[in-house]
Amino acid sequence: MTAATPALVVDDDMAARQRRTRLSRLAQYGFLALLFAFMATPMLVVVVFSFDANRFPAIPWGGFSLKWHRAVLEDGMIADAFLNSLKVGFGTAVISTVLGFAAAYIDYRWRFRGQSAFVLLVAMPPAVPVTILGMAMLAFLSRIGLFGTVEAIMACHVVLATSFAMALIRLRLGELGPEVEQAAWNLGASPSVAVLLIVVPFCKPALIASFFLSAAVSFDEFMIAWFVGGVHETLPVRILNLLQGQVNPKINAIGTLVLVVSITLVLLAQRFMRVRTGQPTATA
Amino acid sequence: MSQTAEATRGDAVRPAARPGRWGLGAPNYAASPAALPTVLGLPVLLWQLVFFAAPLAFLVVITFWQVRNFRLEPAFVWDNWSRILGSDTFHKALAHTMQVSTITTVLALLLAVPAAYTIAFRLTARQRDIAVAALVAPVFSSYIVRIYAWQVVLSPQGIANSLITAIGLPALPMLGGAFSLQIGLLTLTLPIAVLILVFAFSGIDRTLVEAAENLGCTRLNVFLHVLLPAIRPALILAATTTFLLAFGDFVSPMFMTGSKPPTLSILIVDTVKSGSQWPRASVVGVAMLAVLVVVVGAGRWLGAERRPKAKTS
Amino acid sequence: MKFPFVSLKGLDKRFAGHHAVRGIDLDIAAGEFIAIMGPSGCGKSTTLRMIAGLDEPTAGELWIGGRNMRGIPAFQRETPMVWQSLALFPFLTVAENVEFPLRRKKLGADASRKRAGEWLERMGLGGMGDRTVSQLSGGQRQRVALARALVTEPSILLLDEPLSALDTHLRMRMQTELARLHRELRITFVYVTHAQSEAFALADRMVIMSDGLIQQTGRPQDVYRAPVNAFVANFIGTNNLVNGKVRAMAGGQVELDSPIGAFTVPAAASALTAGDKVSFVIAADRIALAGESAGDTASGHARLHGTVLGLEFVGSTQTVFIEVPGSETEFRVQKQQHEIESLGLAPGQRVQLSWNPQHAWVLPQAA
Repeated sequence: MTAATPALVVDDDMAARQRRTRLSRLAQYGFLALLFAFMATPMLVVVVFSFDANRFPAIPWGGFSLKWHRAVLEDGMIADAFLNSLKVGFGTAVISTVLGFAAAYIDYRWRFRGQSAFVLLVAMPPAVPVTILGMAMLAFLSRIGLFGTVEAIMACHVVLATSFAMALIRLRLGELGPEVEQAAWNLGASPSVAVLLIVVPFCKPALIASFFLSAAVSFDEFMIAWFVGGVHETLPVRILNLLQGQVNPKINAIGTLVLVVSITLVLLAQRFMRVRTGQPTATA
Repeated sequence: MSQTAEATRGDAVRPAARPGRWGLGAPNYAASPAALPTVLGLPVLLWQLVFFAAPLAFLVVITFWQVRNFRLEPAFVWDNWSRILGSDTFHKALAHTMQVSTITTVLALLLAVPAAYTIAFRLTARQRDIAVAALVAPVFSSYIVRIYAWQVVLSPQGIANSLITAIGLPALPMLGGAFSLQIGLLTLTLPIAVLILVFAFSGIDRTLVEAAENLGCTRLNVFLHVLLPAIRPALILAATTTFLLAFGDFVSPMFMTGSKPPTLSILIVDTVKSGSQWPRASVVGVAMLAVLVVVVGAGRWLGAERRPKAKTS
Repeated sequence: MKFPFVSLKGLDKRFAGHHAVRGIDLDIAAGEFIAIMGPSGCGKSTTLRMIAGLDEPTAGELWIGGRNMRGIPAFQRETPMVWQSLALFPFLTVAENVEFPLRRKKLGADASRKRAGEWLERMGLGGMGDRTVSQLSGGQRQRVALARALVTEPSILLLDEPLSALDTHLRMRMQTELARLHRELRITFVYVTHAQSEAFALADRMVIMSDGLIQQTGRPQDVYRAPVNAFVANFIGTNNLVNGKVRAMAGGQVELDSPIGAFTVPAAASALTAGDKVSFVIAADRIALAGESAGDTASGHARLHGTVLGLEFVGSTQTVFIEVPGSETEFRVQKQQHEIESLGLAPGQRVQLSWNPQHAWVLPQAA
């Protein structure tokens, strides 16, 4: 008898909208889950099937076995490659952190002609395709007789890693008001002493993060190492060479090892350097 | 320290900022020894010059050299350039690489935008931290191992097909074509693209969104007309970075497809391995760099703030 | 000044596109508390920074303690400064902050700790040495900054708007603190501020700067009562300026004509002739108000009529804004609360302004 009351109409509308919102939310979360599943799949596959007794990973599983891991540990070439990776990685981490700090501090403290060219020179290497970089570095280094050594690989990795180190440290320096450093001078510290006593300790979280990140960059890098290393293989190069041969079940085991090391390094770097918009970047 | 010495060194570090405006750079304090910037700057500068700039410059130089009896000899010939630029193989490789990279870029953006939106706006702060960590980790952990894993998953006797045949469907050839290639390239580029967009979305002023909703925009409208335009520079950065990485990649084309036709990176490696044709490989490399410079330049031009034309009224 | 402790001669500083300090001269005596004041951008902070060696002058000379500071970098100058933002070292403890200058002077670890501890006691922070900076309140941090600056017992202390960031109560307390310190230590304090009240309360001498130039130096009461130009007259205190032209000079007085009437004002030292354009200043707290129909004002007093435009509550006083026909700007008169009430002042009321002509002060007219 009476016309539909407005309250009922509003309820219907709202319920429909709520249902739509819930559906769309579900879709969004679902999509995100799929994406992360996509990114996680390769890593999970490697780790899980490194314990598979079967030579070739397939469903159904061949049973739990540690034999591939044992084989990897007993393989001399792999051990050598791993050692090389450690040496190169450690050296890269140390040098990149130092050079990255120098570049970041120079950009932070002074204004000079050619400043953007300088920053670009340090920041550019990751943007150049590794194949080209590797080829160029090999050609040049062999010309000047530095080719084929572990040190050569390290020198080239530093070029890549310094870019990341500089970015991280520059970010942290952006939070240091210039007055703190000036106060140090004002109270009797020469600029060099002020850098050592005030700026470096302030950057400590970023320095540590840069160390780990540079190590990760170097540990992961295979293209340049392949070109430049000659007979000295780093672990990724060993993997690359193995991949070019027949199917080798040891690759899963090596891959697991490599993934564990890399991810640990990256997570360590993250622990010291949180990058969130609007928040101070250091947790320490 | 003499005043004249100070003054000349001070000239090279003229302050550009007004006093008190700290912005992105502090004004120069000339009353400090110039030894410090030299001690700090020289090692970095030299290192980058010797191990980065010089090799690249040398690469350009080699393009004019010749290989005689398997030995690289200095010369000045245009031979390498004409051979490569005129070669059919090169054209095909270039076209193929451009096509593949473009597809990757489009796919990556299509996938990254909704993912980044969800992460930035629909997760709690703690969840967002975990998501970011989960995105950063793959970027620096063994791309080559992960490609091998995809090989294993997608191969004819691989895991995916095991599952498919288990439920009675015929085995699909997933490895060796464009599908697996894109999977590989997305494995490389997607995390970075999502990260860039997450940071961009996080940086948007929330009051803009609230204002739009207040004025009657639906969520979709807000997304299309407020959020996307606001992150335009980041979209372009993500696109450029994705293109850059996909264009130069060697591993995915190598292991995810049969390398026919080859991409430019594979062309370089092949040319080097067979007969050490360094000059020719260098030409390909320099050509690749030229393409990338053009693409990045186009990206920056697109991303530059356009000044609205002044209206005379 | 016979033997100034700090001497600026033609000190000049140019930044790209900005001439911050235009060749100023200033002598500061040892033990003096001098306040450099002015609006933002006048060059006062730049001057302070040049004294500290944080900016290098483009021209001119700077002498401190009889030494030419040219070529002497900041860390060798012994001119400790207290910053507005305090600039405490965030990752050092309070004690380590205060010890910092001592360690730079190669004082041993034990001696440094002892001396720093003494200074913390002196500043009322005893026992807080092991705390981090973030654990202290604003006032406590302020005192750490002071302790850190004074721990080396310097001959001069520089302060760059140290109280601007504090709330009113804290500011009052710190002001008293600073005055006390100056009395006890008897060293030179160079204090930059834009707040008149601080300068008046603390300074032995004031320096007013504007646009890179020194406009006036003098004791606070002299600057307040005898501004030498229109800028200072408008910047310090509350003054009314009247522009006019000299009619005649007679017996140390200037007779001048202005749009609001003719006035006789005591002559300044500078020689003036008829036809010169001048302004005269009459302070807001020196004008008497009376109802329009009040009887004659004191004989010899200058007299004006005007209409009350409004009243502004300032606290213990109120400022009355009065429109005077012929004058471009309003007259401001400061009156105590009770006077306002007894006069029953209200907007629209016609009043009579008067003042003792001896209280006015003549200035060259602003360009």
